[in-house]
Amino acid sequence: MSVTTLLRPVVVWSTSERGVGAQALEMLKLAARIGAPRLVVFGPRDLSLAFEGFVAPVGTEIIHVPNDDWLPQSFPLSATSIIEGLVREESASAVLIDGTIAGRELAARLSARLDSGLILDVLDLDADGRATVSNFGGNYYTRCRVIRGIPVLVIHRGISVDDDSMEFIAVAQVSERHVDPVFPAFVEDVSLNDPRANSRPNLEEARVVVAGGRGVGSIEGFALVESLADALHGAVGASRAAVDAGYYPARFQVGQTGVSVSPDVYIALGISGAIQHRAGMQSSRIVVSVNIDENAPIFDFSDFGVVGDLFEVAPQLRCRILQLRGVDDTGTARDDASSVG
Amino acid sequence: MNIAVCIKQVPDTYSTRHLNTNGRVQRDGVELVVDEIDLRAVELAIQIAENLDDSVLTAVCMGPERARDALIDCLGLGMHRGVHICDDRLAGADLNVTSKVLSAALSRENYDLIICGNESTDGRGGCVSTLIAEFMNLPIVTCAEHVTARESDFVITRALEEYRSTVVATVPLVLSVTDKVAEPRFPSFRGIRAARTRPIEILSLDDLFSNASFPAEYSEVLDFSAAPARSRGAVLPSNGRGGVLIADFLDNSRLLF
Repeated sequence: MSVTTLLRPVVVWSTSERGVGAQALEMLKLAARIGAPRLVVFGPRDLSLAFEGFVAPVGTEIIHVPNDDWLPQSFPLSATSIIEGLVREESASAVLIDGTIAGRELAARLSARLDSGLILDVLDLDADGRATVSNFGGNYYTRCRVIRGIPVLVIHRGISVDDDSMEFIAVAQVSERHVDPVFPAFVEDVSLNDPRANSRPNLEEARVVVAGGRGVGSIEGFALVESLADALHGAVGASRAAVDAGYYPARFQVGQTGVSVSPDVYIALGISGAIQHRAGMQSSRIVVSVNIDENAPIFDFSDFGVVGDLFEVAPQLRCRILQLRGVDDTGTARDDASSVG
Repeated sequence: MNIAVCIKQVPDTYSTRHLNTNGRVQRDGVELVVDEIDLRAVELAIQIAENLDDSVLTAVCMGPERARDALIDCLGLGMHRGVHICDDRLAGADLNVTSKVLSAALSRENYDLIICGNESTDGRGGCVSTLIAEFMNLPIVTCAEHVTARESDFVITRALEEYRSTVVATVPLVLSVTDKVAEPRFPSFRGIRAARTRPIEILSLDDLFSNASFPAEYSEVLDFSAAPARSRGAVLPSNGRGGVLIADFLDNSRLLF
């Protein structure tokens, strides 16, 4: 047996929640293409319960690093030292990291310290370690390969990996490692939770995104976008025009400057469809748009379009969805009111 | 304070962008601009310097000869000098090489503060600033949304996915900024005229590395393909039934989860 067959890819996952997370499983599937994955999970102490019965590609081994005592900002530095140690001591064929802000910082640090090539925004990986990445928000797909060190791969958020020929089994091996956190050189003052971000699915990972543009017209108008998103269990997005006008916070901006999304359904309300916006959503499976202007460019790349007033169409759409699902409208409306606040 | 801002010349995001036959960003026949996020970084540097007696503001750019225009734009806004890393051997440089080269250029001088955009609009990596911090062994604060300079330190609000956090940091420091950090100013006529007299230092790989130590590529592009174009589907007038039409379309396509 050659030595290389013993090398395993390492998947890094960080979570503040109880579960392991859908993205972690998709990353494990990618990793399983090149070897039996080792999943390193940074999360709360009681997370270990979530591993019971966790089904993953055959051969997956889990290392749990409890991080209850860490500052949120300790993750990139601490994880860097742990993963660097793991790679050096036990060798690894690749490192796969979730494309969060902290994940990208971790990836860059590892890439520098391991003198290894870094590839970002990975959508797919083949058995020979060739990565597929998207360029310009999905205008192009490029296949590339690391040619120095081991691949350090930042995985696009919200990927869905084909697993037809893959075998899954409940993970048998879970070990725990306790590590002292590395604190960043700067002093952390305070961190604020933003409940608004947590009440809906993550924009990058949502299967449905409802986005509002300049046509929404006001901050108050976005309540309509939010209630439609909630009826569809989706995330809320905004065009750059809407963000620039101050209707919605910048971190929900979909577009070339902002977040790139590829949900199953993208509903554009009052968005004209500038190239800037298109670059952030054109890899969506189905695009539905509502615009008062029949010449809006967004119709040219929509699978279904309605020319009309979004203030009439959106509430009607929401009503009809609830009807089709057999949900009591008034009950849901009450929930909405509490989440809009 | 000695402040460097790393800038990048990119195709305008309001135009359609393409890859050329080498799988690199198509720059010929395309309008090239200073990446918008970098203009915000430049603005932040200028604002910080406005409250200090003695500052030198340097714009640093790696790119082909044309990238000089980007540096001149930044000088027109108020940067004092430019550093242009220009070498044909850097065409198509990957992330790791780019960061090594920028670090080598930045290490030639003692900058207190190095500011980068959090991610470029053509590469979307968001990793160059951290790589620079690693290579130069400097602390970094990423995704700065708001920066206040105090007597001897900076108060910085970071915008992360699920929360904001405020940190206090001292120089030397690398800072990556988001598009909320500052509104870029428009260049003044006086500024544009002054830009002509401000120096741009040109550096080649030979100035930065000894002969044998040019950084080799860390990754290679194997092939690329254009994504299939989206086509126009049915576009119907609402006539008071638009919501029902869409709901039925989604339902028939089994897209109501």
